[in-house]
Amino acid sequence: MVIEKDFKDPRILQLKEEIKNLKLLLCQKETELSELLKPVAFSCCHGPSMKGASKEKLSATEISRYSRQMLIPKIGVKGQLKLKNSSVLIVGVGGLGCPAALYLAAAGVGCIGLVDHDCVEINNLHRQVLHSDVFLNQPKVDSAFAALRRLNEEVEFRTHKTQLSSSNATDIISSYDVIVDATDNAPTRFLLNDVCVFTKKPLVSGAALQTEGQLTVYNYENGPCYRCLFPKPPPPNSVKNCGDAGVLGTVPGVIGTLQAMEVIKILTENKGVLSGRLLTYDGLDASFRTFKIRDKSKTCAVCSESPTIKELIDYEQFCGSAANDKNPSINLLNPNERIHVERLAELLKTESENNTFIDVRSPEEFEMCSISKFVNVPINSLFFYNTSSEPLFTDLKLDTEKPVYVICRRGNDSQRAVQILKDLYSHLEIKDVIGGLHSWAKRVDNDFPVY
Amino acid sequence: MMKARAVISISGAKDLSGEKETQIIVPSSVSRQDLLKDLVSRFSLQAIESIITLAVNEEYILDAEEINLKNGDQLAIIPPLSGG
Ligand SMILES: [Zn+2]
Repeated sequence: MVIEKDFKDPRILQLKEEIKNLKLLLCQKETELSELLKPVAFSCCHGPSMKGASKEKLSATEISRYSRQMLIPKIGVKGQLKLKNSSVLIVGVGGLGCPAALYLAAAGVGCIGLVDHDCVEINNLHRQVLHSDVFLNQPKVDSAFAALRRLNEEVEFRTHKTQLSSSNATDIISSYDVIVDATDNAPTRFLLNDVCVFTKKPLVSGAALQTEGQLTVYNYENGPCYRCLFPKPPPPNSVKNCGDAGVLGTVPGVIGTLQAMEVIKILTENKGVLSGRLLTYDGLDASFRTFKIRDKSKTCAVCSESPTIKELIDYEQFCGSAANDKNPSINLLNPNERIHVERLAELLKTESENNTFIDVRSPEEFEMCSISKFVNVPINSLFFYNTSSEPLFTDLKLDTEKPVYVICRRGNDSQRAVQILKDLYSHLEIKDVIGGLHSWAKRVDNDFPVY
Repeated sequence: MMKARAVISISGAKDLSGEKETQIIVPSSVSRQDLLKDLVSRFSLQAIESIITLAVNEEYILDAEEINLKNGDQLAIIPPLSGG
């Protein structure tokens, strides 16, 4: 017989809280200790400070620690020393950056820099495997630092809690040997590419979405750069992000690990670096494919003989999108075509029979959580009705006289949906819910899941 | 016009087109530009047209190239992914 535990037991709650605080305290103490252990003339990555350790040879502990990879002829003592005397910058400590940092720290890369502006969110944890519950709402670089230091204290970690931009990127990047692009947005990818071309650094680039990933190395030994391949920025809103389209955690796990592999090959001066080739991975059919990509473009705006871009530009402007993977709010409707969540709560309570409530998110999202009385009509199906003459509401067995209220996740798609519905049913009163389900969870029902 | 039966795969765009891999009939000699135009309209890829890269038998096709296709050739549409 299974005895149901009472998880609201005050002792259980108290212990959970105490343990969480102890973990945080442990992290603080570890940080303090590592500050004290730092060499006086600290100049990570500019030279071989490396916590004062000898750079010409490996200690007995290092030989034991790295023996299993040093036994490989292509690595050996020579390769291990190269790793020890190298520095790698990981831009983005998310789904790709976490596994990449993990393997590079484990492999004994002498100095690892981490750049990230964000804090750990609960929706990160399924794939960003360095972060854990204890570090929710804490800076990702601090969380990653704590986890990595526990893994390998011999490595020097540098954290940059900042948004990489045209004004700071050159400074940060120039002191590292290899750069890992583990970012999640187009403007930062273009920025990283241009800085790496100007400072002559190899750029190990990875990307992952849903069940697919891509990997290549740019700007390596006269190979192509990102702009050689993609001279134009993606049209705004054409490229999907993990927050909208989703991503299976193992996919960035695979790609991030492969990024670490490419870094190790570059640093140990091994052949076979994935330059001039693009690897694609599809987790669903378990397929890897390698495409031969173009050589350096003679007309490339940054890396050709006659470049048109000679210094860093405004990359958010260039791409027409922000340097993060968040979605900005849009404003398409008049105030009288919109209601607040509090009004929605009233309507649902007192007049739910006299109105139609439509949720325009995807069926997957609707299944995760929804407000009762709402019918799921995904916005994509509205686009279809928009161009056909089929009567939408009759199809859905919806009333064609009652006022309609439309909701979505954040309050953007609901506005687009209202516009489409008004074209189809001009006589109806159709309004959207400002701020969508995010507002609902914040202001009406705190137990409603936020994602 | 001579035709060829090629296999096409579309990565990172499955929910744009609803397809992963399918057989299509294409002209056996065609410019990159015309082939791209054909594929974009066939698979409704207008939104990402300007950033698509096209590969034949795992090799990228450059802008100005003339493409010769035969039965069984593998076409691939590869838009850049950005997520991480
Ligand atoms: Zn280039």
